[in-house]
Amino acid sequence: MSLGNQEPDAVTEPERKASYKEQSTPESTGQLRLNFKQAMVLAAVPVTATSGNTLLAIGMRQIGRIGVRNWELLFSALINPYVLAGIILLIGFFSSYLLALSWADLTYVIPTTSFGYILIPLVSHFYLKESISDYRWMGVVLIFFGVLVGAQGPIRTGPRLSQEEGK
Amino acid sequence: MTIPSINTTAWLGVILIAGTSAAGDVLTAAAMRKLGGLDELYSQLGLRSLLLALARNGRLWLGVLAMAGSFFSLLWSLSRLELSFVAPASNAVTYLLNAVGAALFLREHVTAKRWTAMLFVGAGVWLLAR
Repeated sequence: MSLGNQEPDAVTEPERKASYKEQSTPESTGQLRLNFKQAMVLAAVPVTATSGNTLLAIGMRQIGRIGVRNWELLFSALINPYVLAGIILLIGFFSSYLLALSWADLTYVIPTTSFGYILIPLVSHFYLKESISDYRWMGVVLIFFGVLVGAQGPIRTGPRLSQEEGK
Repeated sequence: MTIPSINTTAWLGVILIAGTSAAGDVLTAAAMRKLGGLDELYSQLGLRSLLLALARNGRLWLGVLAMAGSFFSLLWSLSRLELSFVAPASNAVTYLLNAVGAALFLREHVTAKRWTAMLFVGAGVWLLAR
C-alpha cells in the first residue's frame, strides 16, 4: 500500500463495522502474519527500551535525587555518559517502534513487545542487585502469558485513516 | 542511596508517565497508520522524501511532544524510585490507557483476546507493584 493509494476493493466504514460484528475473529485490513524482518523489528523494541532504561537508571543513581530545589540537575543529567548512552538506545527503540506501528496495530505491537517487563526484573535483579519478591516473579509469569495471548490474531485491523479522511 | 517505599509520590509519577506516554503512543500510532508501511515507502520514495513525509505529520509531532513529557517524568521518577517498580508499573498503566485509546480513536478491533492480554498484564503489574 502506498501513500494515498485507493484500494480497488475498499469497503465503506459502515459495511466494515457490520461485517466485523458478525465475525468472531477480527477482520484483517492489512497483513495477516509477521515476516522474519518484522519479527526482528518487534524484538528490537523491548531490547533497546530495556537496555536504554537500565542505563538511564544507572546514570540517575550517580546524579542522585532531583527535587524542586535542584531541578536544574535534570539538565546536567543529559551530559552523564550512562544517560547519554541510554538516550541513544531509546532513539533506536523509537525508530523500531515507529516502523512497527506503520504496519501493525497499536494493540498488537504493545502486548507482543511487553516481554520487556520480563527483561526488566531480570536485569534489575542480576545487574542492579535489586531484590525481586515472589509476588513480582508471579507478575512476570502473568505478563508472559499476556504476551502469548496478545500475539494471536491479525497484525493490522481497523480503517486506514488516510482513506476516510480523503488522504 | 536509600530507596523509598512505593507510596503516593510513586503512583503520582506512574500516572504522570502513563498519561503522557499513552497520549504519545495513540498519536504516534495514528500518524503511522496514516502513512502506512515505512519500509515500502522508503523503497518507493527514498530516505529524503520519507523523512519529509514524517516531518510534515502533525500528529507525529504532538505524539513526540507527549513522549518528551513522559521521558522527563520518567527521569524524575528514576532519580528517586526503583527501576523495577517505575518501569513496569508506568508501562502497564500506559498499556490499559492505550487499549482504550486504540479502540476509541484508532478504531482497532480490540478483541476478547486482546482485552484478555491486557487483563493479564494488568494483574502482572499489580503483583509487580507489591
